[in-house]
Amino acid sequence: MKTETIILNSFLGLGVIALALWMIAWGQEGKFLGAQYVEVRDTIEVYDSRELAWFRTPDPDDPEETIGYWVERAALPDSEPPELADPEAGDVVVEPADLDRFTPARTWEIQRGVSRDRADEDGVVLSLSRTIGLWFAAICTLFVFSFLYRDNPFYKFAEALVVGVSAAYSMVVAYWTMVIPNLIGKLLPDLVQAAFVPEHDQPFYAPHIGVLILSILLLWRLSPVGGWVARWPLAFIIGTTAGFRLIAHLESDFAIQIQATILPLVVRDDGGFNFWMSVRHLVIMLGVMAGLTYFFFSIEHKGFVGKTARVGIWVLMITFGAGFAYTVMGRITLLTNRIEYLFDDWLWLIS
Amino acid sequence: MKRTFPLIIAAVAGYVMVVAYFMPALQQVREDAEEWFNILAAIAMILGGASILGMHLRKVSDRRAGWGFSVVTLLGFLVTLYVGLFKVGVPPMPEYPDRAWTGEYIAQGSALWWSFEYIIYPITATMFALLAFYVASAAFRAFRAKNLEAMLLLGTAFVILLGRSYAGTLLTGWYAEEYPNLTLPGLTDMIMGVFNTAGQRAVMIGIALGIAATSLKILLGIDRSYLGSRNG
Repeated sequence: MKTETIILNSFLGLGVIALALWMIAWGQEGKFLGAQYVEVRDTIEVYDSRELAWFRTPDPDDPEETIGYWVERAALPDSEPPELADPEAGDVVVEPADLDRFTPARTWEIQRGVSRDRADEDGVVLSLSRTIGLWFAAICTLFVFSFLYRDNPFYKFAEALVVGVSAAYSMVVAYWTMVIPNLIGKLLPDLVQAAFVPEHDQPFYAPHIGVLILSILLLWRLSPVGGWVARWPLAFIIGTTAGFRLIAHLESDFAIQIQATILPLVVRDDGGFNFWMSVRHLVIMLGVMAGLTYFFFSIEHKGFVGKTARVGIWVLMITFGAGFAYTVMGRITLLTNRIEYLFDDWLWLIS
Repeated sequence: MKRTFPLIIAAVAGYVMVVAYFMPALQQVREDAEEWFNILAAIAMILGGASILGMHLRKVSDRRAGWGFSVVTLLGFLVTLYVGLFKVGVPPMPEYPDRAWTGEYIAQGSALWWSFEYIIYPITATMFALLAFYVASAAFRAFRAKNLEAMLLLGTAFVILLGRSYAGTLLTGWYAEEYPNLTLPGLTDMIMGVFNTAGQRAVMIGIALGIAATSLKILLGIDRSYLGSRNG
């Protein structure tokens, strides 16, 4: 066995032993290392829909609000949805069910994570799923850090996992935030309102049949024949992007930037001449022009243009230096966050 | 139909977006087109998912090198897709307990929330955090103050790194009252407010002109690369 492997395995073994001892130490105090706690903020009880039905009626005290309650189906006349309340008077005509007689088909707990300092408080309980999650996240974090040594199966595992999960996550987000409310919600509004988004109040919108057709054509690419029809929706995407970007960038990144650069070169405030502000404006204006001169390749960069372009390079170098510094700071902030996660949330070494 | 019609679609869609910007009467058309774009982008995600699925399934079936990691990707993909689309662990809205699917798809405590909180976020954040080491290593090897341009880049980065941290105040705070602009935080503010502003504006104006030119090439049918090869 190579010396390098022996040293690495030794470090790994020592780490595991230290972790086990640390866990035992916390175990003596009756706590599990990395445990996550939650408090139950609310419960939602769902009853069997064959026995009870849920109804909402205007709140007699606040006409803009509604109140909901379960009603025994046997008490409903002819199993028809009754007029539960007079919309104007707000009188409830069907009595809520006596829920003590029924067992909920399912009870949902609305939980919120709390810090471990509050673990002993009433109503705060250990969350197994979150604790497992934290351990899994901590181990995956170590897997990724292992890349600092060299590429290895642990890093590859974390990488493969995040590729699959994040791809599916993006699809799910797109489905629930775009496809359901904006496509299905405008073609089958009643279905979406009844099943997914009770507040959905948009009517049927016929023009969206067009995007449904384009969507089908786009998915046709998966078909073994006629995949070329997917170019039509693709062309639509490209065309709208080009049109939108053309205007948006000319407005925000071209016109507005030029407008912001047209600054008074002689700044007066409180009736006097503000020398430093005037210099500042002059430098900004000259800096922008010098930078643009560097990007202007239709004229050869020599003579006056060449010198101006060189000044432009200096301005750009300062900009890139600032960008580099901010990138480094951002990455170091992320690094400290991850280290804090490992040492505080997981190992409870710091508070 | 294979090449000309897509060109017409792209041109018409693009010109409508441009013209609608200047004509309030076409505002609804513009909004519809934007929404269609967003919907099609969401549908395109399915194509991306199918591509990942197909690629990794082929890798597993061919037993190519690293096929075990493809199994991990496939499992992660399918499980997340299932728990997300079927809202596993998502409670209904308290106002509508009789409608199981009304809850927020990313509700705290749900399976999808778990996958983001304990898989996606920690792994991606750590991957980005790793770059701190590589940026430092690359800077050490590449940055040499051998000419004025390199010195400017290096010096600016140095001043800003110190000026935006407590070190700047610690090192130059003792003369802050007399010469506030010459302290490291003061110099940082000056660099960010003057030189960085000028440089960023020059870059942004250049990018805007580049995007405008690229967009016009697409709308005029000069750039047809998005149509793919002629054989397709």
